Amino acid sequence: MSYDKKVIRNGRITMGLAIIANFIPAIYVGMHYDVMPTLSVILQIWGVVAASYGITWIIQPIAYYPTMGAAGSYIGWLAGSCGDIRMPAAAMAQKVAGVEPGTHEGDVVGTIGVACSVLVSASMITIFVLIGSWIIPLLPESVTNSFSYILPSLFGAIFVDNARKNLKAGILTLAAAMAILFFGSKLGINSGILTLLVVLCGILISRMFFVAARKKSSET
Amino acid sequence: MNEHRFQQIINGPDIWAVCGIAIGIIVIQSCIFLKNALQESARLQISPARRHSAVRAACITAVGPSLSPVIIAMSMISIVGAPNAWLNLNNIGAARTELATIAIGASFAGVETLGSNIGLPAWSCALWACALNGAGWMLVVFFLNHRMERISSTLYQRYDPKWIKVLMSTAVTSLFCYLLGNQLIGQDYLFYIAAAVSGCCMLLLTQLCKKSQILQEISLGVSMLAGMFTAQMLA
Repeated sequence: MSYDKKVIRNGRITMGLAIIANFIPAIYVGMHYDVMPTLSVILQIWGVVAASYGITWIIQPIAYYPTMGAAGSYIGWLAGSCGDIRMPAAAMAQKVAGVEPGTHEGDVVGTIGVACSVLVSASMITIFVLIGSWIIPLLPESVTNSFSYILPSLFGAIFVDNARKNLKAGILTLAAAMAILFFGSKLGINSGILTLLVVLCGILISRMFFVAARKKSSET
Repeated sequence: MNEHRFQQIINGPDIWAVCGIAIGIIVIQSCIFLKNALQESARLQISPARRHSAVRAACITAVGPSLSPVIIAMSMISIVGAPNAWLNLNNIGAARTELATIAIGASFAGVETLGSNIGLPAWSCALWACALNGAGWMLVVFFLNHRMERISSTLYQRYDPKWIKVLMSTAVTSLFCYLLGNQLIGQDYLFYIAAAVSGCCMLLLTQLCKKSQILQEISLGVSMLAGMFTAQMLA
């Protein structure tokens, strides 16, 4: 069997198994502790998650494919961290082995790099989760109390990090989101619909800036 | 349910076992591909010395970025338990988006502020949200990866690649606007302070320390700590 065919076969088998394994904790917890959400709640959760990440699910694997290759994509979209761990590891492996990215040799060496990076990151994550779970109960109360501000702090930082590429569009979208949420909660609109409204509004605002910038550059 | 009991359940040996299955598959998959690629590289006459240096370089490169989600990991451990944090950090979905997904899930059980005792129904909804989110990428790759060569070139020919890039980052930025707004509307001023301090810190770290790779990697964690502790000090 050729290398490429082997990659597709092994990739599909492991990915198929991983999709099933991915749901095992949620199914186990729901059934064993009798807290299984109803099908309608699961579908609603899916709706909100899909509204938020659906575009990314489809576009990202397509956009990264030319750089990651077939084997790299199977590994990268299962183990995650494509941009910050997998691609740099593949690029470094190719560089030191002296192979060109985009060639068959480059693809093979890149896969060696991606696979090794998963083994390293999985070991490291395992170690620091074990250390973390041992340390957390020993933390003083003032530290554990500050955990209630985790989410505003996290979202504040990520918002700034994402929005700084186009600050005007980002601030405008945040203002629109606050208004939609304020009036939406007063009117009792479902949170899934609110998420969708905010994402659509953001895309509209960003399209306006994109078209304006394109017009400006074609004029000059 | 008291916090101690809740923490015992979410860190129970049974939960470690069910989360371990998916991680086992991730590791086995990488071992299989590593074996296939090493065999193929021998066939292509890439010398063992070059192969070894590729392995070494990839391993060293992976160390730094693997450490960067450590602070988010700590928060995740206290909210969904160590086994699920272990799973979420090892599989698809960046640490930051996983925490957002947990928040989305928990909100379906009426829990808006995450902490170390969100309760079993919110925990269950959060696990479903993470599983559904991860499955999105996996299903696309499962069904499309072997046809990706063609799809990828069609996408870039038909649409403006610049707009595709903008569209992807806009969808994510808008989602975080929603999530941030959701944390702030109707809350007291301390939540606004946490968000503002953390945001300013992030801007400073990313703008002023562009050259330091290490500072870039830990910037999110440091900013979060700054926001959380400032709000806690004023409380």
